[in-house]
Amino acid sequence: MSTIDFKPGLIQGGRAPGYETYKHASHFRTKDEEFDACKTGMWLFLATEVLLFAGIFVWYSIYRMMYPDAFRNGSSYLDWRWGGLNTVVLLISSYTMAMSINHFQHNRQKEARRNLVITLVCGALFVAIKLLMEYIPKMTGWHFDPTMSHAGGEALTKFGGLFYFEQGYGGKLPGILFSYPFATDPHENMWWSLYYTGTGLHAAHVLIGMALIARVWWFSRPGVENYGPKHYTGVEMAGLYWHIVDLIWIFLFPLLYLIH
Amino acid sequence: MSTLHPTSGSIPGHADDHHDHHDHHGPYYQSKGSFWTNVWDWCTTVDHKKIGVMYLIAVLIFFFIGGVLALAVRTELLEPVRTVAGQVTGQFFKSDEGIGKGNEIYNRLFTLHGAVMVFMVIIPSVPAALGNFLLPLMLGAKDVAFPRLNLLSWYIYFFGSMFAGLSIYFGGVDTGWTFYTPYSTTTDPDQSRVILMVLGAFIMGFSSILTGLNFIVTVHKLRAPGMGWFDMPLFIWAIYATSIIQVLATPVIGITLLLLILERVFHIGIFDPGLGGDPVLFQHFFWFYSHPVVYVMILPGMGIISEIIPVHAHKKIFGYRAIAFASLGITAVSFLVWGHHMFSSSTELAATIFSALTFLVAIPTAVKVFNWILTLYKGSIAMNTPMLYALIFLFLFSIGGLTGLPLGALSTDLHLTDSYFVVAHFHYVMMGGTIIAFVGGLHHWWPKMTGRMYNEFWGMTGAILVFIGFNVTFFTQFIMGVQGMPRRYATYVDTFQIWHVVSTIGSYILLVGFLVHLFNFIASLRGRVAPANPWGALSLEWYAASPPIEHNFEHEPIVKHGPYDYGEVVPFHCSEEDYPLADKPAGASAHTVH
Amino acid sequence: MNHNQPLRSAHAADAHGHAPGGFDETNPHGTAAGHHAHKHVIVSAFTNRVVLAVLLTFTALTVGLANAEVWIQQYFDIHFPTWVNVSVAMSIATVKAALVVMYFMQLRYDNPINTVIFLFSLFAFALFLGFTTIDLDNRGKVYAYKGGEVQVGGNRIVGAKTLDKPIVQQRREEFLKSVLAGDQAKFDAMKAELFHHRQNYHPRVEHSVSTSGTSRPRGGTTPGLFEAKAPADDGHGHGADHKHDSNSATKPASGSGH
Ligand code: HEM
Ligand SMILES: [Cu+2]
Repeated sequence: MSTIDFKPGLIQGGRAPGYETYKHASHFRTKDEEFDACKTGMWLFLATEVLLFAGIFVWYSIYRMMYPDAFRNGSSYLDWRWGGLNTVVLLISSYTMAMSINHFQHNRQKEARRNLVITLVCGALFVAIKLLMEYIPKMTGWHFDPTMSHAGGEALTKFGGLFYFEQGYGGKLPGILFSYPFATDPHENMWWSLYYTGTGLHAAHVLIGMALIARVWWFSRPGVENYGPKHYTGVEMAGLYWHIVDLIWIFLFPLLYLIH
Repeated sequence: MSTLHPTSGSIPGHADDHHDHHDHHGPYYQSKGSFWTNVWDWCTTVDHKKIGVMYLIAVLIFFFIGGVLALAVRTELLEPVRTVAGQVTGQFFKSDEGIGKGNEIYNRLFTLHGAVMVFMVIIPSVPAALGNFLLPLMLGAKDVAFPRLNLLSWYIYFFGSMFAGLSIYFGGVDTGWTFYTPYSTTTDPDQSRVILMVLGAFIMGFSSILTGLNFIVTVHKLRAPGMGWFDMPLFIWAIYATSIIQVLATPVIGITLLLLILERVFHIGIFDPGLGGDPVLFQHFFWFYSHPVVYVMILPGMGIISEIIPVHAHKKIFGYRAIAFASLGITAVSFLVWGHHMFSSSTELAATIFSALTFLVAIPTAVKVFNWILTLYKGSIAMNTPMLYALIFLFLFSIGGLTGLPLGALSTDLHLTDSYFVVAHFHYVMMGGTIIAFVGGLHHWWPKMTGRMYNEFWGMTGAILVFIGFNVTFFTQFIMGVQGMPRRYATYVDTFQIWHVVSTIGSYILLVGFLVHLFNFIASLRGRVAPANPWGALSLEWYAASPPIEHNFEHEPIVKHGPYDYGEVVPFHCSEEDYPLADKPAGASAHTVH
Repeated sequence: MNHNQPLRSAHAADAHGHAPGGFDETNPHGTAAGHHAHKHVIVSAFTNRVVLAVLLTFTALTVGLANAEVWIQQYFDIHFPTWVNVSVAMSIATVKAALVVMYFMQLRYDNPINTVIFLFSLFAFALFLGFTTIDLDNRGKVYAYKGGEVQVGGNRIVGAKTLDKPIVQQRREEFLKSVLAGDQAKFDAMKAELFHHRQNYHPRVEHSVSTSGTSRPRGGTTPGLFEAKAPADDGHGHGADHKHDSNSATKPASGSGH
């Protein structure tokens, strides 16, 4: 592990970049103390996130113990390939987020921002896959098909074949909204309650994380450059948040997709 | 050796920021200009003292609302069949099916009383109001670690309470403050009152989390130079332990209430058996938070007592470390015992385990009580309002804690559960403990917060009235509970009437007591100017001016003695004549013990 | 205000454990905070890449093992208890999580207090989970007590009368009637088709009947739910409650199911 040695520099127009001029809040003794405080604060916040999701995981455990077959059946409607792909997408985004911090620490602004963009794209991809490939077909029976292979066929289609309808596939809705006809266990609707709440809460966190990263990206734009070797607290915070979102998915994925 | 010496500029990064504000040597609340300038200044302030005062005002307003609801409940119970609720409050709690239905109105009254008192008064009272004001001062810091987050917490609290207020405006809820399913998922099906109330509690939870987070980081990072962990006042230890609970337990009530809202809005089954859910699971989720949260309520109260007693007995606290570790011990144990609220709905195995663990709580609690008593022993006790409140606390809290034990024992609890015995128990700890400590603390720090002395005679009078009123109100409830009076009913069999009448009279005495305090506080604002250190105390908040300046201290303090070294150090701003040192032969013999 | 004035006599300092004068003003708490300026750790690009590679490998591994489990069970016609599946998946997930926390989140190089905070949250989670599970075996009784009013999987439909059968059954019958016009054969064919397709993306052990080699209990499903008779007859300990329940003849009672 290397440590930071930074070369001060000026940005366009001869102004000093934001990370050079940054002044820590006056009630801290040093900038490092502030950085440390922010990090500890963030970790405390992450602890609360862990315990927020603990509710979901405890719900999962209790219901899986009470209704094992409902969970086995429910899970069997999930395609591990989409879950797996989303895992890979999130892991890559975590890596690019970590690399972005690394680049900021070395004052490679362009590379750092590029990594932020990749992270954002991965986050968007994750949400898109969730929605188009999982939520919408399962809830409504409308499958998303970018190849449009069903256009003109006998299946109902929408948007010129971008979506096609499969009779009897949809209706896997949570709780009392459940209307899927082929359930084989009376508690299968409880599985879907859990599935949508758990993944939905997680997806909401993905969106919040993306907003934080977008904010970092905006304040690191040329001419502002708020983050650099001397000061990258904001990136670090957004990164930590992003990783905890990844962390929760690492557990959700096998628990939801790999039961049999 | 000097206690403190000015170090302005001697610490890197501090030399420059000391004089960058215009006029900052006046009191923190001094006017900044016109009325609206001041309003804007208070609404956007990041000064922990102002935020603390804002919390205090909000808490006192909600205390008043909760108190009115309580008096309505008590008044209703004057007669075995319902009288008042249907007639008087029926108009206020407008609801199609509810008007005139006394039972339902009654259910809403006690629910709202409980919810307002728990979520909007007791939880933020000591940590958020007094804690915000005092924590940085006691640590010798300029502010909390994240001042803007602190302001955000206040606004979150404010908006959360607005939601709760809306719910009350639309007619209130009747689920009990515990929101048990299926009450909370089936009552009020077409309106959104329950959702609003639950949402309010959910939002206020975030405020609590952020405050806790802020305090933990502040304690870790912003202690004054020279202040080690064991040089912190015990109030800080208590707030620190409280903050740990707030951070670790509150998210669970967050997810619980969120799921409850989802359950009501989307009808997905989680906790409601009618939707396929598991109501016992709700109880687990709820009490995983709500048992620890009773320690969020009482720990800071204990912290106040740990300050008041040594200051006004002018004696070194007995067993400093024992009390500090007892705070942490209570925190740890508080996560292990929630099942004692579910004895009647769980298995024998679970109930036995939880019962056994419940008794563990008594150990650290008793450690504290005994240490306080030993601090009083041979102290030179100044009998003033804070001290009187500390003594009242010791008395009432002991009763509250000891009656927790029969509730924690399985065989007795199955008879006492959901009876007035439980009601009396938790009022003895929550009101006799937390609120009493809070009012005592308010008197203790009033000179610091406002720069004025309250009137001692009226303070004592109020305290005595509160003490009498409290016991008359709630001791009767122990008796009724043992005789079988169930809680949460608007009507009862005639034999209980005498106790109910006595209890209601007690509640009116309580009201008078609190009104005396209120007028005393208001009058004090034009009263005698307070010196910087009226009690001769040794913790750092008394080193600051009364009231403190905007940045708390003229010079960053460096700590070279402990907060309880009475008799070894002359208190700030005091002379040795008034507070003689123990090893001087001329010293008054009262403060001899180290 | 006389705060410049020396205020105390000399002896108490040692009693209090402070080394008088030995106090470092830039590092008041004795932590590293005051000293480690310019010592922020940079986790190297190489480390990050290795961690990512390991994470991806472990993702493949957990999917592979889950599918292998199914294959083994079917090929050798044996039965794994459910904890095998869970513990394999959770062990791998834990390793992955540890890597993310230690390297991507840099906890390994960070102030130890942050590790402590994180571990505390996990500890609280463990308590939550652990103590919530210890009274599980009572839930059936609670449900049986409510058995007359409440259906398995819920029956309180918004804006409609309470269903008198479990929602899953209700929806199946509605579908059969309104979409398939009561054509049971078509229903069975659709179901078979869907379930067959499912094997492509979620392999699972399909035979639930006992064979000559093994005997498998049908754990989990509520016995007899879709048969005509009421499940209270199945001897789950709540039959007695239903004797007194006037509804039990017409409504299948709920039960925890196994
Ligand atoms: C030695 C300490 C304590 C013990 C052993 C104890 C034990 C108990 C038990 C067993 C119950 C459940 C009674 C029942 O519903 O059957 C209970 C209820 C309650 N306790 Fe305590 N307790 C203690 C201290 C406290 C403290 C310090 C507080 C708050 C500051 C508190 C607040 C409450 C409340 C609010 C309830 C009633 C909750 C409800 O059902 O609405 N207790 N206590
Ligand atoms: Cu409790």
